[in-house]
Formats: sequence, structure tokens, C-alpha cells
Amino acid sequence: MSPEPYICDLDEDTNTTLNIYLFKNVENVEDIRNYIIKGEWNCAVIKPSLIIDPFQIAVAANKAVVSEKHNSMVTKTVYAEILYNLSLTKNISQSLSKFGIEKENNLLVCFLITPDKDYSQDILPKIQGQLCSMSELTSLTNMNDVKSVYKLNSSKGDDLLDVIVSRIVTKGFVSH
Amino acid sequence: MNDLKILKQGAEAKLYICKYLGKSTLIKERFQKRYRHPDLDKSITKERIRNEARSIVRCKTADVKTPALYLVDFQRRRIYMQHFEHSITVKDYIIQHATKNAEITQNLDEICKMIGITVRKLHENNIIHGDLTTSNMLLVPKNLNNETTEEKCLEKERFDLVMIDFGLSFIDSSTEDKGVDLYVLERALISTHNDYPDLFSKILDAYKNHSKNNIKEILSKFEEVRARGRKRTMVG
Repeated sequence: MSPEPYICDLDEDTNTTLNIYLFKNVENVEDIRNYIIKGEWNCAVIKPSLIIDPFQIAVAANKAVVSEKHNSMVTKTVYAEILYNLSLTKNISQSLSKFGIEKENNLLVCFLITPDKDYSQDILPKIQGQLCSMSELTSLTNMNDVKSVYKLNSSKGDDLLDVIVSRIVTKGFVSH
Repeated sequence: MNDLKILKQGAEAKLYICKYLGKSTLIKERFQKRYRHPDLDKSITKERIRNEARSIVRCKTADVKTPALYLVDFQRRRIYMQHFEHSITVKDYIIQHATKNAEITQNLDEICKMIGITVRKLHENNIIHGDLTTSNMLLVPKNLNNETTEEKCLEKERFDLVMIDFGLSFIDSSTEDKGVDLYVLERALISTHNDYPDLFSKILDAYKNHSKNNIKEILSKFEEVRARGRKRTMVG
């Protein structure tokens, strides 16, 4: 049986569910990156090293779908918006390159699923890698990188996720 | 939105409890004030939401525990934040649990110390809470598991002090505002917990001892505010 994705229902008004899959040892990273850049794939692909918990992505994705509904997105697509939201900088290309994938062969693939749209089953088979359980995410997280992108100096482990999500949702009007 | 449970309604906002993104969540919705011009109402509300969220995040940097924020939504006039299910306000704790036995007194001393240190940390970071009352402070058990009940955690002093309701907060470095903040707390304690007259002095001791920085100026300002009341004189 293949590992289950992380599933989270986003804001009720958007009728959207977030599914996140974790892949390791992916062989066709470059192709995947190209499909995404060309806009052929409707999904977000994120570096696992900067994610401490899938909830971090859920908060960013939720903010993205709410902004989409209110026509207040900063980027052009809701998937780019997730990457932009994850990052604290207001520079779009920096956000995309920081949280998007380059050469790493582990990746998190995120789908926004609505009752009439679900591309996940078309895209997933095209990822040549090993589908893993989300519990393996912690072993891929690089704490030093996380602390540097979220400007965290203290090391209080248990509150880290709370601080990160709070910074994500206030990045538009609080300078961090 | 069908399963929103209303928890409280104040003069500025309604509080709802729900599950959001899989977490127990408190929604603070600042409703429209009909007596205001809609444009003004919108900009005031936006400013207040922004202010509140900013203070909550700033507290985290100051090592003061506050609810995590899940969404700030200016369109729906809402802040979505962490709801602490297993918590009790300091006010209710003192009223319900405090009897005159020695153990509880010791607990109260511990709580006063935490309050003093926490308020000091806020002020060191120029965060003025604006509404320091024992209802805006929560005791939240640490590492809650199934076996430990709320009360047991409190007995063993294994709890965090979480500050809430930053609706009246602002950032200011002046000693005047810090003095007023302390005065508001003193008045609140006198009116809510008049059977425990030494709570404030214990809090103030911890406040003083946590850091020496600028403490003389703040305390003399506090004495000044105490003598004249919260409002600054309108002379000049």
C-alpha cells in the first residue's frame, strides 16, 4: 500500500482541500521543474528542507486560496502564491527560487483539490521517485536553513511552528 | 460557515470557535459599526486588525506566549488564531481554585511572578498591552497528555502564561504608557480580586527584578499616574 498524503481542508468558503505528497530520490527533477515553470502542471513543488511540518504549507496554501477568492493575489497563479506566502520576502522571484526546487531530489508536491478539479492523479504517476510517508519529513528538514529564512534566533523547538505560521500570515504588514 | 459557535460578543468584536485547518481555532471578527461612514469604518477596522496581529507576532519575538495566527483576513474582518481548549483565565483560576490553603498560595505567588516577568518582557520590547486584566491572561498546561488534567498541571506548576486580546495594544517606548499599563493592571486587580490585596505588589516585585533597565523612570512614572489617574491632564 502506498503512503497516504497529508490532507487538510482549507477555508470553507473556498471549498478546497490541500493534498501534499512527499517524494524522495526523484530522478526527473529537471523535467518536473520545467513542467511547472511552463505552467503545464497545476501543482506546487516545494523543497522539504525548509518545511518543519506540513501545517506550515497548509497555512500558506490557505492564505493563497483565500487571496485568490478575494482577487488579492500577489503572484499570477495560486500555486506560485503558496511559495510566495511561505517566504517572508516580498520579492517574488526570490521566494520562488528559495522554496521551489532546483537540483534537490527530495520534494513535496502540493495539490489544491476542489470538487470539479483534481489534477493529482494525472501528475503523480509522472514523478519518478519514491513516495514516502509524511513522517519522514522531519529527517529532511534543515533546521539551520529554516531558522535563517524565518529569521529565528532562539531555539525553542516546540513553538517554532507557531512562530513560523504567525509570520507567514502577517508578512504583508509586519516587517520581520 | 455553518458550524461556527459564538463564544462571546464584545463591543468591538464577536468571538467564534471552530475547527480550521484541522486545529481548534478562535475567530475574532470585528463587526461593522453602522454609525460610522463605511469607508472610515473599513479603514479603522483594517488598522486595528493589523495592529492586533502585529502585537501578537511581536510578542513571540519577545518570548511572550500568544496564540498562533492562522489567517488575517481584512475582507471578512477576521483574525483566525489558535484556541487553547484546555486553558483557564487567571481570573477564573483565582476565583474558582484559590482557597486559603498554603499550596494554592504558593501557586498564586508563582502566577504573580510569571505575570510580572511577562509584562516586563512586553515593556522591554515597547509593547503596551493596553488592557492588562486577569481575564486577558490564560494558564495553559504544558505538554498536555491524556493523564494530566488541567488542575493537576496547575498544581505541579507546569503551565504557561499566555497573553491574549491585543485589541487595544500599541507600540511605544515612552515610560508614560508603561506606567499607565501597570496602573490599568493594578486597578483591574483591585476591582476583580479585592480578597487578594497583595497580588499587585507581588507582580510588581517580579516586574522590577526581571530587569533593571530604565526601571526607576518607569516606577516613578507609575507613581505619577497612580496619583493623577489614567488620563493625562489636559492643561497646556
